[in-house]
Amino acid sequence: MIDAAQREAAEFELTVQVSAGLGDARLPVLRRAVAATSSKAGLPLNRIDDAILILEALLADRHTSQADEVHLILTARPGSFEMMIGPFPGLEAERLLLQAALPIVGPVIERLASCAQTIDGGSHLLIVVDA
Amino acid sequence: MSNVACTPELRITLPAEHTSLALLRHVVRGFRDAYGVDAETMDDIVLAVSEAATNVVVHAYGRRRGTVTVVARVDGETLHILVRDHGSGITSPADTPVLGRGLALMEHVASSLEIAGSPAGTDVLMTFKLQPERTPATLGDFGASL
Repeated sequence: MIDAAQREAAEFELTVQVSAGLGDARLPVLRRAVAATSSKAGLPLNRIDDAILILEALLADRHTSQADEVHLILTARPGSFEMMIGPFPGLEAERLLLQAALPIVGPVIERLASCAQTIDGGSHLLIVVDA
Repeated sequence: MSNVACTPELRITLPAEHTSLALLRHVVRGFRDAYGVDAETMDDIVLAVSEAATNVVVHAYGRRRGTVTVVARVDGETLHILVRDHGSGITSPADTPVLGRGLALMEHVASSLEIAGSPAGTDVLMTFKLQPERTPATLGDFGASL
């Protein structure tokens, strides 16, 4: 029998909308937002780190690193963390999905994400990191 | 309602629930990472933002669900932070002593505090002087002549 606390935990969902302008605080605040929200999803430390690495790869890309503002919608559900980034013009989301990389580490999204795809007609990139 | 910057450094919207407050405090501390703000100033900033957001959680929406939005912009050595809700406006501090204490606390730690309320919601705009972290002591500070 599932008690009320377990049912509440199973239904838990937290959505955080966060945008960061082109300033020194962009990476620190977004990194903290991703860490805190993925922690709320109950991800273990290594997967929280993976989510942060994916964020860093996205922000290091030539397009996003020069964008006036970066918009993320972060969603935490039990055992699963979602990060939606966009909107992007044209085929930028698709290109990011294939090319976002970190120095030395290389392309990280397909290696670390549980699922990654473009959505909303290709304007947004949705990345899922499961526990 | 107050206007903070065309492109702020941070805009974050969360559910107006107690569980959002720790997350919000954690994110705001990113300004210390970015600007090397000294620990005491950062504590004041986090305290004030937390108080303003707590007021939203406790007072703004009654039994309704709602959101709290925090917008932050750095202008030179000044950090402007706006805490916004779309609740039922300001309740008189005389009616809710806890709210009154929170406002007094914010006023004490912020360089300036401006509050604008309407039936469409409340804006709390605070500014803080960003004090840089003191440089670490050197051997010279202790009279060493090596």
